[in-house]
Amino acid sequence: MPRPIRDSVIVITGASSGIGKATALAFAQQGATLLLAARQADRLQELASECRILGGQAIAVPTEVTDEAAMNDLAKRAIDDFGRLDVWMNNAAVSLFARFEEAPIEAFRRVLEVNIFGYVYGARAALPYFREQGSGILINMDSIVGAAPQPYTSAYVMSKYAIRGLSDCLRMELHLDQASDIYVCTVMPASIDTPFFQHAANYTGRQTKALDPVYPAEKVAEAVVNLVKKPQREVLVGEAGYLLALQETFTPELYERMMAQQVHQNHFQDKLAPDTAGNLFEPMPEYTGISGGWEHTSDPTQQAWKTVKDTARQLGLPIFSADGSS
Amino acid sequence: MNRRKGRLASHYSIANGYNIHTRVSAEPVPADAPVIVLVHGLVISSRYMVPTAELLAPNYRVYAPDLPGYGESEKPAHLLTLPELAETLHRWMDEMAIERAVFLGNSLGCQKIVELAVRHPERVERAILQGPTIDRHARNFPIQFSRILIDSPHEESSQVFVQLYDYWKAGFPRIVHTIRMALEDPIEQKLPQVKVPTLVVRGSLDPVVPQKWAEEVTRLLPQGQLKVIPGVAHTINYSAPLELVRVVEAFLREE
Repeated sequence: MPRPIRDSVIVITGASSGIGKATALAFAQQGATLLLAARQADRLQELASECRILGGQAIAVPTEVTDEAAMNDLAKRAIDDFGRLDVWMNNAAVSLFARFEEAPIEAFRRVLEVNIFGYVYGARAALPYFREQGSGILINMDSIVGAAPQPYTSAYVMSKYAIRGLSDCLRMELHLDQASDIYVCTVMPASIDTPFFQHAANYTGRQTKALDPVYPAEKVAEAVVNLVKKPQREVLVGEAGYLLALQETFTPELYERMMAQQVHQNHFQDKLAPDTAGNLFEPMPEYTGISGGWEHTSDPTQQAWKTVKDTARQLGLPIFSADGSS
Repeated sequence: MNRRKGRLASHYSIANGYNIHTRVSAEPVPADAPVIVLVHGLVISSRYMVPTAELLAPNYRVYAPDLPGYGESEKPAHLLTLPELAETLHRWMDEMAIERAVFLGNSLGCQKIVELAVRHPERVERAILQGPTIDRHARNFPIQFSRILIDSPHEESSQVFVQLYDYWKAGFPRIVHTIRMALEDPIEQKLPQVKVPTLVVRGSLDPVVPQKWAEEVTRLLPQGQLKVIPGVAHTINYSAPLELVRVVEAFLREE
């Protein structure tokens, strides 16, 4: 039986924006004790205060997920300060948009390092304490692309396939060890409205956007909260994900052709974009919200509204200036 | 990576004229392994320290005495006061050849440690006060008793038997006397005199030690720090020994 959330000590990596931030707030609302990890200390401090206001306990632990020692320290911090570690959420991930041959190899490697080794170090830091306690939940934030791939993001897709494999392997080893109260859960969200696409490195020459249909990050947060209440091996978030996964399973050839076209047409905007390494090597101080402002990019009414807001901002009208999300 | 539990053995010694029973770790540890003394709480005995003692035993020299009147120790006709208990503890250290030690207490055990630290500061290296009593804002029997009742469903259920056995061993007059002694002790006046690094540990569900009182205790200590363990209550040493040992080890690692 998993512990009640209000009695749980929860570590979240990549907590400073997007899904990580939404999940932290959802846990805080239920009174959890949170260790918030990401690269930017000031962002984490702000989030920690928000969590405390909502009724949770929270501390900010600036952490680079590709630093194995730092990840061990993060787990140790939970044990040293609170005596427990109940949930470890591997969530920090980066992406890279580029044709495979055009992606700078160091950017490619960095994606694999953050998205794979970040999770590997996280799991290796958390599991010994789970075993010592005899309980714990490891949540690996994967992606629907871990089952239904897409072009232009080969490094990201590879990393997400890898994470799904990692979760499966760990689950089997725990089964052999009869560690029946230790769970490994894979979360596979479809296209989610977060600043992820603003953060992503981009060498395509075109401005990226979230692929339709887009789901709010709170939906993923809710799924994670439910996993902690009742762990499951794998959950998909966003109905489109089920369709993609089904298509990929039963008609892989057709799926590949359709998805290739869809990504080619729908994952980009009609705008040029200079090459950027995004937040791969250095965190970006901007775009720290939960939403990336993508939710309405497909809705004509919302598109029109956005145009009005953009125009207003360009004209210097102060009415919409408080809203930085679009 | 399950933690190994260390074995414990019984030891009897005469200190301050009383025959005192001590649970001592019987594990080979390095000669310089820290000494840690576990001090029991209200009416109960070192019996309920066993889960914590077993987890500490592989790395520390652990001693858990039953103070005179409680557990397996001698029951003097005279009911010892808090200062007398602290003095007995002091003499017992001489008898056991313990120069200085880390002290870990639960509940009323914390009051005994504070008394000892004020009287003989040179013998106390560090202190761990887990669930320190008594909340000075609720220093009366009905409130304390109802808080203990509220606490009981949060504890490991087998604790009831340990408790009943120890209460029966102590006898009714001693129970009444001990409760009065705990209630009358002005611990808040002594805390500022505890000069050693001191860790206050509170269980987030502990009704006996509210968060406010735990914070006040920590503030009054010149070198105090507070750790709150989520999801556990008043008797962490019995109900959640692993969590307690983890935060204690982190505290003892600090320079």
